Formats: sequence, structure tokens, C-alpha cells
Amino acid sequence: MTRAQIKTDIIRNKYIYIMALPVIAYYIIFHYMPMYGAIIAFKEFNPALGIIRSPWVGFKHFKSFFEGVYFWRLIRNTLLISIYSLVWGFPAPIILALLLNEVKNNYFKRTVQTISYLPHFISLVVVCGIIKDFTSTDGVINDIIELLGGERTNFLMKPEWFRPIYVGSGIWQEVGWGSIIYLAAITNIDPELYEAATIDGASRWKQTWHITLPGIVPTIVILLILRLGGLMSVGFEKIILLYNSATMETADVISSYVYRRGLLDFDYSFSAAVGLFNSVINLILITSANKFSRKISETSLW
Amino acid sequence: MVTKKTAGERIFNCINITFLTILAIACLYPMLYVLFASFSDPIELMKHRGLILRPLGFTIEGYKLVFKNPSITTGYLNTLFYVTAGTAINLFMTSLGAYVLSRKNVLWKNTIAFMITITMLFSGGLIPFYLLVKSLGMVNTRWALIIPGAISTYNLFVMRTSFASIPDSLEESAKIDGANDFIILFRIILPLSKAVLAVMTLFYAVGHWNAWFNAMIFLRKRELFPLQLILREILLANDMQSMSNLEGLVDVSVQANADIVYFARLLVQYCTIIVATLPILFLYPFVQKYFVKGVMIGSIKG
Amino acid sequence: MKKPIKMISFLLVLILTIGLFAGCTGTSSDKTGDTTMKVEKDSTDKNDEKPAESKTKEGESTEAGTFALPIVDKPVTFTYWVPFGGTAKEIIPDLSQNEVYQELEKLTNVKIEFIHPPEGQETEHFNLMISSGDLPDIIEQGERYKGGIDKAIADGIYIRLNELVDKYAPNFKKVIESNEELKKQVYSDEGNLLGFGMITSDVPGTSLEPTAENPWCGPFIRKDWLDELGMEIPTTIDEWYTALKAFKEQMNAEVPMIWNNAIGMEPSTGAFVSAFDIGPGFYIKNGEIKYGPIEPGFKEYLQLVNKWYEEGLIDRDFPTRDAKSIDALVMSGKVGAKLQDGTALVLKARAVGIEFAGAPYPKKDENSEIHWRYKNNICRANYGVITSKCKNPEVAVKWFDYHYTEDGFKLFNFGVEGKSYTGIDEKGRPKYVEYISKNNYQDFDRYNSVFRLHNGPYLKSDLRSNPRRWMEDLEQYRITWNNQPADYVLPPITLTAEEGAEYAKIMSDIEAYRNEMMLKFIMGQEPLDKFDEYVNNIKAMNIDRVIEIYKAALDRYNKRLEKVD
Repeated sequence: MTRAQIKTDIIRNKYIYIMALPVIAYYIIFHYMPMYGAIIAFKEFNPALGIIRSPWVGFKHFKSFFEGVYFWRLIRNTLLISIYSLVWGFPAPIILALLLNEVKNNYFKRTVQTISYLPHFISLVVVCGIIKDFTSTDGVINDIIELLGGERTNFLMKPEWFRPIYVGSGIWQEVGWGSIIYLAAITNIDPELYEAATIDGASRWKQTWHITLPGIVPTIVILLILRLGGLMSVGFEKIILLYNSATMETADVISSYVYRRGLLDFDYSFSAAVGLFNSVINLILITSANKFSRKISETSLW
Repeated sequence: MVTKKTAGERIFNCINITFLTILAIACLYPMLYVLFASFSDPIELMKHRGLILRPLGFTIEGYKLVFKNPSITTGYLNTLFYVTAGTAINLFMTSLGAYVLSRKNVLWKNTIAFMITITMLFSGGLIPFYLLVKSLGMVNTRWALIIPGAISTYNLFVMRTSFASIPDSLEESAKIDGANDFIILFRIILPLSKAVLAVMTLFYAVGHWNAWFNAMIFLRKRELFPLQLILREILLANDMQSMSNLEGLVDVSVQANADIVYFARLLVQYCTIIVATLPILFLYPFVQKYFVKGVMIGSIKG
Repeated sequence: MKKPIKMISFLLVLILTIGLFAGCTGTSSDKTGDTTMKVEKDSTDKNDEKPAESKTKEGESTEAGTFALPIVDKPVTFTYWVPFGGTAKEIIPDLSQNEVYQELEKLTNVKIEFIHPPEGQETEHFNLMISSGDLPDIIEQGERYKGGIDKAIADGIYIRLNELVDKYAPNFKKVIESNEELKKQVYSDEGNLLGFGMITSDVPGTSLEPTAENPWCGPFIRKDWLDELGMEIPTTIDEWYTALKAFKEQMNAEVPMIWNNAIGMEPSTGAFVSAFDIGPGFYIKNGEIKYGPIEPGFKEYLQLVNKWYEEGLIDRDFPTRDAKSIDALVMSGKVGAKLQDGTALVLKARAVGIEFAGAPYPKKDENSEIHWRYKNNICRANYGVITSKCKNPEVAVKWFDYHYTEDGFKLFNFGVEGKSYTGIDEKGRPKYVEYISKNNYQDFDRYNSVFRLHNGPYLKSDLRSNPRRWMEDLEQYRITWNNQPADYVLPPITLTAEEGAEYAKIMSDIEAYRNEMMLKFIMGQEPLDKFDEYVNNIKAMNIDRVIEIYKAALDRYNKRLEKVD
């Protein structure tokens, strides 16, 4: 970039840069300025000394984390749960949006849509309570199984069932809410395209495949990339509520481990170190996804 | 115009409607569960396991207990303020940012987008954030709940994608007429983005409605507390097994002694959820009407 | 039309940008050692900084037994960080409305401004407070400080109290000098006085002698079913087996016994584990530190639980059973016994016509004894401490000292005489007024934080002030538990900051492994001849290092008093 290029750019886009000022200011003040706090990952944080004056310990906390007996299990479980959620959970709201789009009766469509996002608002504790209720040996699901001639099992005690239950209940809870964005994106598609297709005699399926889907592809791509940037971040609350010692093998993730360890001895620096580790991995993932997306499509995060 | 339906389309319609109905029931049930439970007799509620298909007994005791908390009214009013003021600021800032990032031929666009993405992944932690807000003089004021969260990066990128999908021809013809970026944004882009603006309003409003964390660490004056914080107090007061009880060095027995035969405990939890959730559910129908196809009609020709 | 809009938009952007930058009042330095910021409750929206209250004349030193009131002539204000919450918040928003503190202010002329952390986030709030330099004058639960109170004093956050207490707190001094065990509990490994703790004084009558409070929890069993079967409350493992089998076969109990811990062991009481001459975690035997889960007694325990599990005497779903579900089972009469609960269970179940009785921790057989059970310390932490921000530490010390006088005892335990009670009966119990005592004290817990103090740095007598303790049958259960030996229980030792970090690192893995293996053994997925392999694995995970750490801490604990006098 030559100085001349920069100059023309600023002159041509001066209003844009003025508009950008408050936004940039916001990010600098509220996100970049506090970022120095991340260095407590390399320190032994003492609240009395504050972040700047606490002593340096280098990679001690990272080593402590890596040396854990279950380190690889935690990584594996975190990634697997994230990937399953992605593979099964990402398409679900899209499919729901497409299905809703096909409904002709407006009243039915709006009712189902409204009802579908209700679970999003129910607190996690209640949702997990319901899950535990349903999957227990004397719960509804086992009632049905017995009716069909099967044997009762307590599903939450079986390691192989943890991920399906975790991911499945997540999909159920979020599919309605997640479809809202796609529904909005669908309305942005020029209706003339549909009219033209109908005149050409295209079936509804062809219309969906060739008009609707491509119309929301930019939204899908952006949301997918953003999702990949959070792959390492599986929250601990739902895990803690659903797991137990019988399912640790598949259920214990990084965040639940940090939480348990924090109960024994709360350490800001340690959790900061783990957080930093997660962030770095997430950065690598999101950058790769973005690069890949630039190569094969016009849409990308940056 | 009468369109002929093929057999395939009829079958598809059937399956679609069935599937959506089942989904609706599955999503509606937990809300009904909580609703019915909130009107149930506390002891019956404690004894009950499994599905709840109607209130067990009928009482509004639980609601009385929730509303007798003197701070509920101020909580509602405060939240109303945070939702309206907060969302207004959110929309303004996010629109600016989305516009800037969606224009072509802006030299620094991708750099800015990348820098913003970083803030999604890396954070300095609670303490520097708190110190920053304190140094800005916002602690114990309403601003603490509105300014630090002025932009959600996720929403920013979604909005940007939507702005970018508006055809360039509109922008170009406006520029020919002598319009600058401010006019393009406010008089052309925004009016055409009703759907995404509606979604953003919904997302931000719900975010403010549910928010309690910033309020919890920054506010000390009870007159400023939002509803969720008050409800959280009520919930914690009535929930012996909440995760909060795991923390702290207070003798467990001391807490146990504090709660003898407080039967309404479970009941109050459910009432709290209804009180917390119902109002925001009424927001959605207003937003829904913007999901109407055809907002772009006439725009290109004009 | 174009120009005005352009101007307005431009101005908006400008104003916003300026607004964002204008708020910046300097760099966001973290702790500045000299700030004296007190958060006033009545300030306007801006964060005011008021200078500390001016110094006043001190009250005179007093002897124990007498107390010069008021403490100061001109009022002094202290900011006081105290956790507060629960159902009391429905009645009073904070402790300034508490009748005890209001009365105390009248008597002492010391005004308190309360700072309450949000419920559930006490640790975070506490750490934020320390990191940001916003120290209050006094703190309750000073033991929250990361690294312990010794470290807090070394870091200059808390002040050392020994000398101040010697001079200005004779009543408190008398209390802690009166009992050797108590004395060790209230001093730190470095010989610092930990603070003004919550010390139990349950001896009936008006004596202020410190004692340990009777344990509140233990095993419970269905008395009504036992009566119907003509059986006695079981005291040995075999008797329990017989009782549970009878419950299952003759009373059709769906869940003969609730094992209310997801890992198959109750860590806080060690109920049933202690029958095998061990404790559930770290314990002390013949002066040595031991870890229960690797002792041979633990294998016997696992065999027992496995047998009972396979015979259906224990809740099949215990690893996934949550509190709500347990409640449901208990209240619908399907449960025969509970591994651990508090005496509140009896009252709860009685409301639906079910009668539970507290049972002693079972022994292995007639000739054995248990050595581990839930035990209260005489001093139950809750230390009131004074920070380096306090400008009038002597006044603060005197203020705390009042809590340990006889008048203070009555005030904090019973409330204000004439307001919440009218006189004391021959057992030393208050005669509560109507609004508290009506309906058999049904609402006692709700008013608990309003007219008296529940937790705090004072001489507490739950026995004399809590009506639930006056129920003979419930109290008898507690006495039975208290009479069982508890010599394996560790005293309240403390780890240093480095030890704590090491402990957390090693134990979080060991506990995860232990819990997983326990479940496998109990549910029969893993045969018990693999027990030795399991023990070796735990040893390989460095359990011996933790035992070493505990031993060091125990040695320091035993030598505490050498550093004091």
C-alpha cells in the first residue's frame, strides 16, 4: 500500500471512517485496554498486589494443566462434544427455517415458530431437571421402552449415552431460537426470483435448492465460521448438571475440570492459563476456517 | 393463480406439518410443565415425579411469595429502562459498525474485522474489566449496564452480512445523486433491512432482559437492580442445592440449619421462572411481522 | 433536506465519540496503594469519594465483665463486608435493618455501613474488592483470603490483632484463654490471632463457656416402619442389613435406603464408612495421617455397598439422583432410610405423616467402635477481621469485644429484650414474643436474620436460641451422635498458598479417579480383586505427597501455641 493509495482511500471514504470511530473506540476501550489482564496466566496472581505487581511464573500453570492425568481425555471430550454439536446442531435451525418457509398457512407457521423458541428461555437448571427426570430408570422414556418390550436403563449413568443426550437436548432447546436468523435472511431474498422460477415450472424443491439456500449461504458461512471459533469453549454448567462419576469418561470436559479444581483451591491464574490455551486453539480454528472460506466463496469474516 | 400440487408435494406437506406439530408439542411441554408447577400445591409438587399435565392442586401462594419482595416493582422498571436505552444504543452502534464493514473498497476493512474478531476470543478477565469500568466512573451507575456491552460482535457480523447482501446498484445510484455515507446508511440501507433490524432488536432486548452479571458486580444500590438480579436472589434463597452453596467457607451445617421446613422452596423456583420469562415472550409477535417477504420490491427500480 | 440530516448524523457520531473518551479519567491502573475509597450508600449516581471519618476519642480499656458504653463519644463509622442473603432479603434489604445491629449502634455509638456481596458470588466479589483496593474497614469471614489470614497479614491487607486484643478486648481474650482446644483453633500457624470467630457456647444456664455444638446431621431411618416390624433402631452393620431387608420385603419399600451422594460415599459424615475403622478422606490415626480410600477398610466398605446394591437395598439410581428427586421419593413414603440428613428431615416428613428417627453411625459389630463422624469445631470460623484501611482499629476491636460479653451474648442470640423476647426461662432460653413463636415457630427462619444474628463473630448458642433445638426427640439424636467417638477427625489445619495449589492439582485427579472406580466397584462393573491395582494407581498419582502436606500442616497446627505466648 502506497501512501498515495492510503490517502485516496481516506478521502474517498472519510465518512465511513468517521462512522467507524465510535465503534473502534468502543473496542479499544472495553476490549483491548483490559486485555493486559491475560498475563495473569503467566503469573502467580495475588489480589493484594494486583495484576501488574504479582510475580511471574512463566509457563507453570500451563504445565500444571498439561501434566494432569486426564489431560487428553478432557481435550478429546471437549472437542467431540463440540464437533457433535456442530454436525448435528448447526444444520438443525437451517432445516427448521426451510421447513417453516414451506408452510402455506401463515397462522400455523407463526404459531409453531413462536412455540419452537420457548425452550430457549427455560433456565438450564430446569431443563436438566427435566432431562434427569425423563431418563431415569422410572422415567417416561423407560416407560416407553418397557412398553415396546425393552429393558429399563438409567441413561445418564451410561457413558455412551452422555453425548447424545447432551447434544440432543441442546438441539431441542436451541433449534427454534436459532432458526430466527435464517428466517430473517430468507425474507431478504428477492421474491421476483421465485416468481420467475414458478413461471419456468420449477418445483418447490428446486426452488428451495436453487434460490432459498443460495440466498442464505452468506449467513450460513459467517455463522459457521463464528461457531468454529468457539469449538474449545464448552460451558461447564450443563456438563456439571448432567454428569456424574459413571460418565466422566465421556462427559468431563476442560471447563468442568477447571471448575472442580477451583472448588478445591480457587486459582485465577490457573483458570486464566487454561482460558488462554483455549483461546489460542480457537484462534487457529477460526483463522483456518476464514482462510478456507475466502478460497472457495466470497464470504468470509475478514 | 391456481397452482397444481403434485402427489409428492402433498405428501411432503403432510410430513412437514406432522413433524412441525410434534416439534411444537415437544417445545411447548416444558413451558407448560413449569407453568402448571407454578400453580401447584407445594407439598404435592415435592412428592411428584414424572410428567405434569395440569396443576397439582391450585394455589397462587408461590406468586404471592415472589411478588411480596419489595424490590420486584423497581426491578421491572429498571429492566424496562435497560432494555429500551440499551437496545437503542446497541442498534445505533452496531448499525454503524456493520455499515462500515460491509462497504466495498475500504482499505482497512479487513484489518478492523480481524481485530474485532480477536476480541471475541481473548479477554483480560474480570478484574481488569472491573477496574476499567471503575476508572470510567461507571460503577454503581446505570451506564455500567449499557455501555460496556454496547456492541455484540456476533450480532455485528450478522448485520454486516445482511447489509452486504443489499445490491450495490442502490448505493451507486445514490452516490450519483450526491448522497454521502450517512444518508446511504440511514435512508437506504436501514429501511431495507427491517428484518435483520427486527432480529437484532429481539436479540439485544432479550440479552438485556436476561442480563444480571454486570449488574451483580457493578451495582450496589438496590434501586438500580434489574429484575433478573432480584429474581436470582429469590431463587438462591429458595434453592439449597444451587451451585452457590458449594462455594464459600461457611460451615455447611449453618446453611442447613437455616432452612427447616420451607415447603414452598420448589414452588417459588417455578414461579420465578414464569415471572422472569413471560414478559419477554410478548415481544416476539411484534418483531415477527417484519419477517415479511418482499421488502425489496420496487427498490431497484427506484 | 439532505444537509440537516448530514449535520445531525455527524454531530451524533461526534458526541458519542467524545462521550466515550470523556469518561476516561486516567489509565486503568490496578491497585493504587493510597486510595481510600469508601462506597457510600447514599451517594448520587457518580461514584463519590468521601474522606474517612474523623478520629474520635477512644473509650477506656476495660476489664472483662465490665464494658464501658458507649465506646466512643463522637460517632465513628465503619464499612463492614458481610455475606447476607437468603429468605431474610424479603423482609430486610440489608443488615442495617437488623434489630440487633440497630441496637448495637445505639449502645456503642459506632455506626456500621454494610457491604453485602451478591449471593453466590461471594468469592469473586471478595477478590474484586481486594484487587481494586476498595477495602472496607472490617470484614466477616476473613478466612476467604486466598492463602489464608497469615498471608493477608503478610500482604498488609489485614492487621495483626494479637496486641490490640490484649489491650482492648478482655472479654474475647478471656473466652479464648478458657479452653486449650479452642485456643489452638483461633490462632494461625504463624501465631497470629485469626480473628473474632463464631464460637459456640451451648452450656445451659448463663455461663459463657465455649463448647462444640452437637452435630446436626447423621443417618436417618423410618421409625414408624421399625415400630410396625417390632425392630429396634439398628446400631451395627448387620442390624442395618436386617432392617433394610425387612423394609424391602415386608414394607415394599421402593428405595430401602437413599444413598444421597452421587459417588456412593458421604464425605462430610463418613456414615457407614467409619464402621470399617477409617474416615472417608484424610484422617488421623495414632498421630499419622491416612487417606481412607486406599486403606484396606475401604475395600470392606465397597464390598458391603456392592452387596447391598446388588440386593436392591440401595437406590439403584443414586449416581444420578438429585435433591428434588430425593425429596419426592421421601415425601411420598417410598424411602426407608437416608444415609445422611439434618434433623429438619423429621419435621418435613412429619408434615405428611411419616416418622423418621436419627440413628447412630453404625459400628462394624458389637465390639467395635467408630472413630469418624461429622464434628463441629468450637470455633466455626466466620472470622471478623480488621483491614489496614481502618482508621480506628482500637475502636473496632472494642466493638468486636462487645460481642463476647454477657450482654452481647443475649443481644446477638435472642435479640433486643422487650422487642423479640420477654425474659429468660430456667434453661436459659428466651421467651419469644408472639410474632416469632406463633404456629410453633413456623416462620422462625425467615425472621432469623431480622431480630437476631444467625452467623457472625460472636458467642453463639444455637441450642439456647433456636426453637428447633428445644424439641427433645430431635435434640436426642444430636446428642447420640455427639456421644460417638470422633478421634480420627482432623483438627482445622490450614495449608499455605503453595500447598493449597499443589493439593488442588493432585487431588482433583485423584478424586476423579477414586469416584469413577468407586462407582464401578459398587455397581459390580469392576471386581473387587482389582482393589489393589486401584490403590497402586492412586499411589502413582502422588497421594503420598498430599499426605506429606497434611502432616506438615498438622505439625504446624500442634505447635501453634508455641508461637503465641
